[in-house]
Amino acid sequence: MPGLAGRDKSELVRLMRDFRDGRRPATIMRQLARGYTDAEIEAAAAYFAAQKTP
Amino acid sequence: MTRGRRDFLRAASVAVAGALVSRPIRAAKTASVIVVGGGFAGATAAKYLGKWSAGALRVTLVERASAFVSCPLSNLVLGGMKEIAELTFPYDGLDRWGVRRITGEATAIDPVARTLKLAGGETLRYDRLILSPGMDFDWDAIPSLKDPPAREKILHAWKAGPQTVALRRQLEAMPDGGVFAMHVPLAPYRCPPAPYERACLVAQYFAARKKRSKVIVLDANEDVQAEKALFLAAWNGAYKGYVEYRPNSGLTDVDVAALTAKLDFEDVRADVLNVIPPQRAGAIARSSGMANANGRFCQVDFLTYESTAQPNIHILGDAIQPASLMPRSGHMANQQAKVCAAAVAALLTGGEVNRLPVLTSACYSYLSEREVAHIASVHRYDPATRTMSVVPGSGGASPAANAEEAAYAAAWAENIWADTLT
Repeated sequence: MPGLAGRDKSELVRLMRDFRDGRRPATIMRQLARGYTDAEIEAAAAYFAAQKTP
Repeated sequence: MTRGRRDFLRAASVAVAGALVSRPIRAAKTASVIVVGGGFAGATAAKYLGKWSAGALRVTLVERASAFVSCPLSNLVLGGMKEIAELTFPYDGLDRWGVRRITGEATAIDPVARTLKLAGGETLRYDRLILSPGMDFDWDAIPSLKDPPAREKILHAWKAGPQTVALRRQLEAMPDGGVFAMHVPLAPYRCPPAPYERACLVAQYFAARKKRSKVIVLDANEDVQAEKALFLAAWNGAYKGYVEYRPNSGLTDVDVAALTAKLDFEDVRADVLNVIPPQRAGAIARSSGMANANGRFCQVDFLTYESTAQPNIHILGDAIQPASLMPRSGHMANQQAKVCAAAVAALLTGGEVNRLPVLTSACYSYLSEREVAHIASVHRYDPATRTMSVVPGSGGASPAANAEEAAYAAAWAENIWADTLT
């Protein structure tokens, strides 16, 4: 399972939008990504990007 | 970390605490939050209160068990695919967040004096109290199981732990050709898909080891309560001949000696009888008028999880009356706890309470040891109705159980255990 800590923020935002808009195949992530606003996706991506890799 | 190093750190933190006694002004100003119950909701709340308040609050967790046992994945123990030890975790991972832990039982609340009484006689004072006692079984609904020794013979295994292990022993001891009958109570109950997952994993065990045996699901509900298409596909496919599903099978009582489920119009004899009883909020959350949803569950403000009946008391997890379509799941309990922890920290330290909380829930069901399906949802606060609503277009279920999601389910479990307990 790939970790999210320290990943580039814009990469994470793009991944979430791709999940949400159906451009990236997924099991659960499309269904979850469609629950969040752009601002929330930005905030979550900024949080994960700021975490240190364990 | 080695034991020696941990002991040294513990000794060092005691020394620091001792040093603080000489500065009583700070101690007197530190607000106190007590969390009762260390399941997914309570442990998460205690952790995040400690983490986010960074020492500005005194956080105490009262839990009667010395270790956490995960209900998610515990049906795998019944199928013989996991050991309970793999689902059992210590609480000492919360220590680094400054959570003071008390192994004991909370027995009574005085909401006016803001005190909590423990079984040992000790009384603790709180500024805010968070109750996450989970659910209690309503034994009055099954008269013959009001007698505690009867419950050692007819097991529920609906709280993971010794009951899970004991039910596995019963299944192992059952001769081939036997019947495992399980009763599902009327909704709402903890974890909607879990009874059907249990039927699948016991059927997988029978198909591998006891081919003449059968699972009979006696469901009080009129239909499968979650992921119906997936469970029916398994019962009519891989488990054909191993699972018989009977809807509208409300239980009126059991015959303990004869291992018989008594339904309205028939009796069903079993070799192993598993009765999941109807459920209600844990007793302490039903005290002081807090079970104000049909006397069974507790209504809360979804911005703070504060009881609508008692100020300064917050309630989480399976004890609350959830909003429509909010499942009683471990994931949901963990999510509610974070919203509550942030709100309680804000209320006690002069911060802002988030006006638009969002919760997610993911629930993975094992149709077999290696084939898993999920059901997911996203819930957002609606200021107009002051409740949580599913975000339109979000959520859904797997089209079919598959091996890819078995890997995701295992990762989900590792992540939520770590998020809740460390």
